[in-house]
Amino acid sequence: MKTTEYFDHTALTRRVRQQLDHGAQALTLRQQHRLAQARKTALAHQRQALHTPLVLAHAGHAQLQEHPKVSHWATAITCLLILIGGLLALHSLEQDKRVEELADIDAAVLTDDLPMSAYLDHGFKRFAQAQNDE
Amino acid sequence: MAHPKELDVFLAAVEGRAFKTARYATRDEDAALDIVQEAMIKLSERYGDRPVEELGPLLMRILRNCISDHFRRSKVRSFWITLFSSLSARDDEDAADPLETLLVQDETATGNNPERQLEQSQILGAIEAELEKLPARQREAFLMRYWEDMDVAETAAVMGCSEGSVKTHCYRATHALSTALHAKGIKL
Repeated sequence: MKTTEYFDHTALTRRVRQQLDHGAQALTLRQQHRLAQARKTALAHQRQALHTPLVLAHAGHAQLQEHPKVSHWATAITCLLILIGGLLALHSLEQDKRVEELADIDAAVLTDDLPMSAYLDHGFKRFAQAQNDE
Repeated sequence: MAHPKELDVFLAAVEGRAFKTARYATRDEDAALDIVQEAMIKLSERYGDRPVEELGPLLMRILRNCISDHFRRSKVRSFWITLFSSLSARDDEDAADPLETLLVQDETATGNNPERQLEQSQILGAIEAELEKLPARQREAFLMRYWEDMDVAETAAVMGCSEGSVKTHCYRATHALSTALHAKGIKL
């Protein structure tokens, strides 16, 4: 039973294929004309795509332009490196700023008569700032 | 690398099948022709430097993507068309020229026998109608496997699914076609 099904299946696909092949060849004049035009346009694009790197090579950019994909990757990696560099610099600046602030507080605590708890009081902090502004 | 002449021969050999594949999916001749042109251009631009043997599956993959893009674009377009349809006037000048739709008969296949030609065109029409009715993925799998002669692995790669899925789609498509054609009294 299985064997018969297999052969039916194969025969069916073969006959369908024959019919479809016949249909693909029996195109109207309009369809043939449009497809021929499409083919011409595609071939013109292939010529352009193949010639562009050569022209650019003469301009001195052969390394990057010969492989557009390589150039895309190089650009992406450069952007990523710049981004990472920027983030690291920002992080370093923030760290420095924080260390300076802590050092200021330490200096104030060590040189002042006030107890340390005064600096933990938010009201006093505001008062001290107001004093400094004046 | 595909020489321009080789590419020309390759495209000439597959353009009919590519057009029909796009037409089964879109059921729109003009859209199918546009899709084939777009696919051919993309193939030539991006893969024109590949050997000819590699171009078949690549074209099928591009064609499939172009068909998906077409449906995506049509969704947006149909919204606006529905909105403004009442304003559009019917333009009779756009009526098709009967000469343009004249079929180029392949006399070698059917001889000069009009009855045979009629029978063949009826069978082909029935097969095409049933193919259009199939779910998209079943149709794609069936056409790639049995018409484009791609193996299961290639078909799976193009469709982005497992080989098992391809086999299932093919089996279901064949079964559906067989049942539908049998119901119409067509024995292949």
